[in-house]
Amino acid sequence: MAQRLPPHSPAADNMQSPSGPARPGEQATCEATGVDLSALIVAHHAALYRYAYRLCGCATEAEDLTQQAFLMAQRKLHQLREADRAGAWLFAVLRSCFLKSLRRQRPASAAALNLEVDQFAAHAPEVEEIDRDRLAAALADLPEEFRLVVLMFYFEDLSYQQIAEQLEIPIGTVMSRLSRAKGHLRRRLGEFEESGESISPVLRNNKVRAEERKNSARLRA
Amino acid sequence: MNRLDELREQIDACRAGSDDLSLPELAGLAQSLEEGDSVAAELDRAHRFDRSVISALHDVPVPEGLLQRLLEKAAANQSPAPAADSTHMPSVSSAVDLALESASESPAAEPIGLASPETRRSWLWKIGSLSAAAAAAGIVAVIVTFPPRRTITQDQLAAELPQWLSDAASPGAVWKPASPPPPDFPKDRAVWPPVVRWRSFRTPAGESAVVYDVTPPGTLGRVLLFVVSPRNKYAVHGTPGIALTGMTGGLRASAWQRASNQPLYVLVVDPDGDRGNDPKFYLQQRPVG
Repeated sequence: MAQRLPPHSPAADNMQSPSGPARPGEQATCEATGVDLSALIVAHHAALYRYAYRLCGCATEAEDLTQQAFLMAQRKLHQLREADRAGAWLFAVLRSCFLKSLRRQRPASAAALNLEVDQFAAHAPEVEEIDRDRLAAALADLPEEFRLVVLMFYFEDLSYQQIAEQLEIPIGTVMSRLSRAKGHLRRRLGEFEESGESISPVLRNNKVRAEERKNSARLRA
Repeated sequence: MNRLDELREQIDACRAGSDDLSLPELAGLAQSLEEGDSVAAELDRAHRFDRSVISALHDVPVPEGLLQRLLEKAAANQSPAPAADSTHMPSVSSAVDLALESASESPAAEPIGLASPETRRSWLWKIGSLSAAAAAAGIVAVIVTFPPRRTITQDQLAAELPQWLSDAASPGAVWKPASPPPPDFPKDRAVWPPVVRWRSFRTPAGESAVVYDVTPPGTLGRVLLFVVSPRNKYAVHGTPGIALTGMTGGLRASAWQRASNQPLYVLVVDPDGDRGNDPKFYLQQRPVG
């Protein structure tokens, strides 16, 4: 039987969450690891930008977020304890910048965005290749807290346990958000599979029932 | 509510190719996998979907000039270089210069034959300086022989792979039979086709490696698994199945390294004119554990 994973995030073992007062104009090299900031930028800028793009959904905001992340990394470079964990650390820095920007905005209600959580795809759709624009549209439907969890799962390859620790929310909340978000992606991407018509009879039926419910609600209002 | 609905959250929480099934919250899923095939089939399907999503998530073009803008911004924010003090580690070249300068300095020499404390100190100083110069030269030699570890991005790896293929798997290459394979370069369990043949080679960066030919019979083109004992840091994923971006020449590949002290794996599909299969086709669907 495989060994149990440690109860804490390996990423958290090797780095501190970016916090505390910033000191302007930090040095470009971490003395503890010998890691050079410019080398980090060269090695990780593309992956960081792609993550930022998926978080923000917009190229301009993604570039700004990436800039902010590297500037923060420059200030907090002394917190990086292991060079091997630089990539994971940068992802966490980027995520921290994104969350700060979220707090400055008005929070959106999940209910207002009509996440049809009871309309799960019964099965994951068989999709060989997913169109990136359709994926972007499906992600854009998700409230930020759901999108963040599913992107941490996919992009950072974090377990639900690690996500719970990083975001400081209960494991059950993470599992619920993850499942609802993935169910939404399955439904949206499965619907796109063939000319906008779902290939799954279950999904087609669900779609019909959902439309009927919306019509009923509209009529009652 | 059927069994799959009950397990849906656990299925969605289980990462492909991971040890997540050992986590306490997924105990129900782990037990169900042992009891029947329907849950296993759905888990396989979910993991295939996950891999497709991950590939699509990474399919984002990077804006032109982004790297330059980021580097310029970082340089503009960089603090001035710290003044030299006892805590500042000198570079190798400055250490050599310092040592050579020290070696060339000498206090006023005493006349020959006088064994005064000043003469002894002068000789000790010279010996010490020459030793420091020799040590610094040795450090330079080590650095030249064993260059500093560098980080290789996925795009850089993708650009190097045609060279790997050329070096390791050229038409005239001599291969060894499938068994026994070299123990220091284990085949990743996630790669299901058996080894047909293998050979050793060195990456352009000088790293020891082995390439396994795992082309299933009847397959057009070839499927190769590179196993590298990495000296450099490769910015790849920790689990297999995610397509390597930036591939050219019709090649398709997936690269992964499960831990920093584990080999680097690169699975390459060379379609030889045909479209060829995605590397995911040659990877186990069920989580290995």
